[in-house]
Amino acid sequence: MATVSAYLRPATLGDALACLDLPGAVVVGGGTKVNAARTLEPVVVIDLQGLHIDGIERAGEHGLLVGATATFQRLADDARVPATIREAARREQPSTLRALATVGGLVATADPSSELLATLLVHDGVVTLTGRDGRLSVELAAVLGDGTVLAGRIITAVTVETGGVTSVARTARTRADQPIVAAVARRTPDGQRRLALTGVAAVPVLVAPTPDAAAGLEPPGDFRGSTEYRRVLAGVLARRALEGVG
Amino acid sequence: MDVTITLNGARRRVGCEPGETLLALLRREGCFSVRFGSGTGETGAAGVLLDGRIVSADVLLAAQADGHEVTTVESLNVATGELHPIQEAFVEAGALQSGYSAGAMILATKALLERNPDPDEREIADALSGILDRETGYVKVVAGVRRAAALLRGEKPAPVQPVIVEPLAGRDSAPGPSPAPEQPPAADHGPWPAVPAVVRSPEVAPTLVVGQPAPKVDALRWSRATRRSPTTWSCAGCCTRRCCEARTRTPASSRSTMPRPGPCPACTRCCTASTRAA
Repeated sequence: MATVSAYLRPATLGDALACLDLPGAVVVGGGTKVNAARTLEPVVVIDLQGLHIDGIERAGEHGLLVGATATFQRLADDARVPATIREAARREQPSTLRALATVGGLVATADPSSELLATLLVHDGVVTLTGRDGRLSVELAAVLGDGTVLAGRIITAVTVETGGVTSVARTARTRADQPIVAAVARRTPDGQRRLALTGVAAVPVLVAPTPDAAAGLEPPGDFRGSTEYRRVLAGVLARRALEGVG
Repeated sequence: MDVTITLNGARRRVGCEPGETLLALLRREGCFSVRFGSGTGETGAAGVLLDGRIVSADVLLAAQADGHEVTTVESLNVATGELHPIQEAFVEAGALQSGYSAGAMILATKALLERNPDPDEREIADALSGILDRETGYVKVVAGVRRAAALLRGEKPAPVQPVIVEPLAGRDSAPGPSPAPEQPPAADHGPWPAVPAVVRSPEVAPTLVVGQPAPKVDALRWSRATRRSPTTWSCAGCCTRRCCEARTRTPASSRSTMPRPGPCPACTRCCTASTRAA
């Protein structure tokens, strides 16, 4: 467990932003990452559940606004959420963590193996950030690529486009394990194609929607797969995912 | 700091440290069905229901549960003293394994069946996905959940028929592959089990245990997940008195009486009373 020196549950965004100035302040959605971390440095936990930003609502004709503290379980249960995102939310964590882990926490921690993040990427995810300088909307790919944009700001929502056709291809050690490499493809209603890969970079990435998209990548190898293995997997899975969306 | 939680239906205000886990708070409050798993929420042994959803209490701060409803296994039968249908089904199906994570499995089953009275195997596996208990696998657990679902739907499932492995003809002395059985059992749960070859040593007499499945001795206690009953001690100060509580043995310890120096708590109570009466 993390060493927690204080626990705060602000009731407004203004209060929450003020809490960020405290030394050791860490924003928590469900706490599955922060609480499980074995840190010796004391942290001040800023729990966002008092802000009540856990809803899911329509945004425009083909959009969906997901509150930052919406849990994976809520995503998986909501019939308005695209099936690919629901299934990815269900696979992201086991049942005992799914009702705790939040979408905001997912974006902030940027797990490189996260299939759910890849799915949000191909659904044109846009992150809403709130800071003292006001509200800011940034593409999810940009937030994942440059985490400094989160400094001094709080993630309040993620917006996704719901239309189109999606397809997922993955390779994992077991059926329920996180994928070593996964490819998520989507064809938008106007015919454009998106392709996102996991397990090939420090964060899930959007790449050009071509079967040889992985050619220039340098995936970090680990005990689950070497650099070469992941590169080969990425090529094969990208082709399969793209074939799935036509 | 103080937190207010609705614990097993009763609203409570409890003091805690900012970094204290919900697991630690619950055990301090007497809910010993919640067990330490990993501290990272990965094993699920610390599973409790938070607002009706199964969550790992070892990765959740007690402060995060402030204002929420927390349910543990103790809530299932404290009022009635009888087994909840889910507990009953788990006992009958032999789904308790070591009992360490039985509480979490029973709660996960409760959460599942409240939303889906007739889940299929995939949904059951998903509901139990966060609870790792690899002592024997999940075949009996899934059977237990299905049995519980039937009980809660008001059905009367057939008694569990244990698969009794008969010694195979001609296999008593020579190891080797077993012939396949002609007819699988009429069980509606689980795959047809592989039949092992029974190779007996001529020096060892057949036992009465092997091949005769029976409910575990501690199954009822595990399913309730209550604290273990104190061991009955043999006490020189009171064991000759009929009135002494120390002579009343619990079923779990009926075969053993451990020596203990000095008077036991029961002796202190009843013998003092007897002395005064005399």
